[in-house]
Amino acid sequence: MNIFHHKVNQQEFVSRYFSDKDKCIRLKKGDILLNQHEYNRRIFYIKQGEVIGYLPDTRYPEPIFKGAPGSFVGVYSYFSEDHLSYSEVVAQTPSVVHYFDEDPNALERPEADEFMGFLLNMVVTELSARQHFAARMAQERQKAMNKLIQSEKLATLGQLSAGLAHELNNSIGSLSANLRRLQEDIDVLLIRQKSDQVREFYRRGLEDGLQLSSREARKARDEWSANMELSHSTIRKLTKAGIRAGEVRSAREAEEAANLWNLGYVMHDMRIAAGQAAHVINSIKTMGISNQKWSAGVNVNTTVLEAVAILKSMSGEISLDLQLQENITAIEACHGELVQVWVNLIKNAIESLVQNLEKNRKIKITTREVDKQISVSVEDNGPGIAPDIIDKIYEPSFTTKVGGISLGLGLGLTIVKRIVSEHDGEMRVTSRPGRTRFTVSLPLKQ
Amino acid sequence: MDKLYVLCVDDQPEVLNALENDLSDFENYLLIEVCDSGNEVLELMEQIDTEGDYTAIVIADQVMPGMTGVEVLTRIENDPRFSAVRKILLTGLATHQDTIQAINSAGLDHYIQKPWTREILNKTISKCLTEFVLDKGIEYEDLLPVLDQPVLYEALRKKG
Amino acid sequence: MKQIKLIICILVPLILLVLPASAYSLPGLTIIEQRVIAIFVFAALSWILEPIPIYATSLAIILLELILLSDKALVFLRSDSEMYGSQIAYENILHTFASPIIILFLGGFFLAMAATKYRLDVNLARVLLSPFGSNPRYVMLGVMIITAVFSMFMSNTATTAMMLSILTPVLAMMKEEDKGRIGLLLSVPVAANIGGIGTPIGTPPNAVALKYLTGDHYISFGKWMSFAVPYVVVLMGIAWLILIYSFPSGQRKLKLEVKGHFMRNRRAYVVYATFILTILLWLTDFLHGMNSYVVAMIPVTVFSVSGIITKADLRSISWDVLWLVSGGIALGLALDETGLANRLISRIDFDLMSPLVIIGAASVTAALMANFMSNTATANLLLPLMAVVGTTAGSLAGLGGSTMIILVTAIACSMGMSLPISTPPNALAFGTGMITTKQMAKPGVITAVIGLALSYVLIGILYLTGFFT
Repeated sequence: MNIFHHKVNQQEFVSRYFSDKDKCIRLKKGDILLNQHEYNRRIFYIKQGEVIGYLPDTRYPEPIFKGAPGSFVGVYSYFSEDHLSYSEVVAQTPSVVHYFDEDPNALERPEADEFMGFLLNMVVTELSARQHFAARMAQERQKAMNKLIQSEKLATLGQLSAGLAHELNNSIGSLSANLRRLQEDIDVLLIRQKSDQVREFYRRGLEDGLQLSSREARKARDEWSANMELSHSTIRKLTKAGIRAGEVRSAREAEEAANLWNLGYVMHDMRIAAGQAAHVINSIKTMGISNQKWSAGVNVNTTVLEAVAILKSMSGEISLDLQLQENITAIEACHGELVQVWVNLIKNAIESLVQNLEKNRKIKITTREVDKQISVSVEDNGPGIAPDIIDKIYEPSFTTKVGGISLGLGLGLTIVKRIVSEHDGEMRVTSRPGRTRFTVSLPLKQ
Repeated sequence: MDKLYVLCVDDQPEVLNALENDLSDFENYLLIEVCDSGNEVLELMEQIDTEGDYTAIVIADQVMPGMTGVEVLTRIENDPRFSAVRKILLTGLATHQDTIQAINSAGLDHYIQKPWTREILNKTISKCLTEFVLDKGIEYEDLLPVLDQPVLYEALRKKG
Repeated sequence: MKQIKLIICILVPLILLVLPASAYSLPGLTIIEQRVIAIFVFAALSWILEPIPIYATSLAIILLELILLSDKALVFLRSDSEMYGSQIAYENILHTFASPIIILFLGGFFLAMAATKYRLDVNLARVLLSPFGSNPRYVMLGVMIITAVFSMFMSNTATTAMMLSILTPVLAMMKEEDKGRIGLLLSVPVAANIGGIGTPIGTPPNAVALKYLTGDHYISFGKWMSFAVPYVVVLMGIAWLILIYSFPSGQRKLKLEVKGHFMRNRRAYVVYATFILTILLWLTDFLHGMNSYVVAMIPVTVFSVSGIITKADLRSISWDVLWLVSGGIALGLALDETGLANRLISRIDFDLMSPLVIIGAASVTAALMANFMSNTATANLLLPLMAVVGTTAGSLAGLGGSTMIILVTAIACSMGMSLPISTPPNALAFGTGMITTKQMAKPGVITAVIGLALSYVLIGILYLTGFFT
């Protein structure tokens, strides 16, 4: 049977075998053309609309093929031994389907050859279409999977940090409350037992904290060492407190003054530390997934400051230069996500500086409002990004980190880019050795 | 008696204050000084040396603007006058690189992790102090209560 | 404070120097003799007040003697006057640095240094401790015996340091409220202080005493040990009882673990052999005729030749201890050679005093002084005086004369052990922070009182057995 000699165009073929008015089915959306395992001796030609083939017994039904106008369905069951359909075919849109249900063997010889030849062509075309379809589906599935993993990572991270923040919040809360309580108790005790004059030193420590640098304090020692018989450590405490020799009358009073100032200073310090801890926790909480609310009136400067607060411990010896434009217009944005963007950018800058052991490591963060846009740039004086990799930096798997010290507060530039595009913003990077700048521009929506 | 100094250097005043408080057990035997930068501590060591006293121990925080702890300690290590000075690095976050550098070029004697406990700090200071005193041949009798006993015993035993 | 002390130490002797000779009620007192008095007072003051290190005082004594008393003294200070007095040959003063006694001590140092270097001390302690089991009382006895034996040949300080390092892990494990911990800790300095009495090189006061036991009064190494070791045994037994009753241990069992093994190499064998040989030679001088000073050069030489003691080790020798003793010897020399001793003898009539009062006064004074200042410095000050008293007081002659009084005083110098500042072993034990001054003082005082009483018994026995004749 030399089937390839019988070239017939599709239109001719369809009009010959698939135009019988009696053999026409009209389907509404959702109608089933073929059930799975249904006995089928028909070949369907999709004239209008779209049908989709599913495997209904799998847990997550996914289309395995798509029938658009001009394609044929039911080919497998028509030719197979048992004539059972392996999939369920459902109309995706209102469709018109013609079918052919004769036994091909019953056809006349030249006609049969022509018919079989065409069918074979059709089968091959259909097969390849379905293969492409399957490949595309697999690809999409992989993409969806990646997305899922990312979002799960984010969710886990969000939950983790939210949990952490919650736990710490309680501890810090109790520490601050007790600190206040302690401070009140000390106040009462001091009022009862000490003179106003001596209490003044405690108040100074408590309210002003440390005012002098260690160098200044050391310079102030001379006036004391000449004066009274005081131990080195007492003089050290006195000068650190900025207490002048004229302020106390005796060595005993000097010692008491130094100790009370130190008590006040310690309280002062604890209060500041508790406040700072609370602030960092708050920032982490706003960053957490659970707290990702969009709102109008987000101040970009505030989000930048929060990001800086989160990274304070990491920045260490790097000097941070903040140039934030005053009275910046509030925008509609997701506060937490913006913080995350800055955290990521600043953290990248810090890492590029730390790992390369630069001298005078510096990061400049600028906010500006121009042309109905707010642009935020993070600039470091690190070694820069090599031109051959600058295009890859937004890929999820891309990393230049070697030491493995990244803390996982953010998920890299991929996320930054996603968040920025969610805000209808744009992102640019320019880099040369000694100056790498990431700029994020966010539109002001009216 | 020669004066022995313990110098602490960190840019954060609260850390310095905590160190000062935690080192108060040594106050009757040593002079404790705090500095807020690497330059200041080097200057102070110079001054102490001029007055003929000893800097026995330097405790430096790693993360500081300007000079890092390892840089400060390396400078001290490379000054032959201060070869006996015991060097302690205090850090909460040290990279592998910092650590290697600290050991190789700064001749680190001890590494204290933040947050430290008073007990560990005192033990470390006492051990470093004993080593310094024995190294320099300073009279140990007056310092006995703050010295590390096993280290001292071994040195005295060796004298026969 | 220190300045005031220093001023006193300089000013008082200066006043004594410029006073007219007639101010002293010593007829015929020469200028040189007056200078000796000033030097002696300077020595006493600066050893008691300690404005300068005690070994520095010794060096100052020697320098002052060279400048003020020797035949090579500063020319302006010399005089042809009849009243100038007899000068001392400068060589004799300088010889004190290498006096046979110093060499004996140096031999001891070499033995101890080699022993510690080759860990003979720790290994011996390990082996000797094992028969004492784990009953805290007997463990303490073992610790005391070993400490005492070692301190006879090593310095008391090194012995204490070694034993304390063995005890440290056990002490750390014992409960803080357990009195036995205090007892065990105290047993080390007590035993080290007592043990030092056992040999002439056990502690510097013994060496200083030997200086005055020459000629007819010569006491050999073995002879010293023949009476001193039994004395140590009895006194230590008593001290042990005092400690276990004052500080009973709540602990059932006590296990001291000492790690290590005897070193087996050529040098280590040389150390072991030399150690044994030296001690045997010291004990058997009557057989071979070499006295202990001569024998002392054997370990010094052997260890240097074999490279066991290196140049670096030489630098770590406690020269301060040797020079402290030298100063004491120089002080005795000055008293003797200028004739001041004789003048004092002729002037002061000790005969009127009961011999027992003299013995009692000498030993109690020595013990008291030694509690507050260096034992060696005490011996340096008191023993030359006692040598004078011993030869003068006729009443003592019958009881053993100067030999007897010197022995009693030397032993009393080792009784200074009640305060942390009394001896380096006490300071080390106190430095652990586990005991209070009071806890240290109680057994210290009781042991010292009993020790003094026992020393009287000892000389009684020696007298009866004809030791002094």
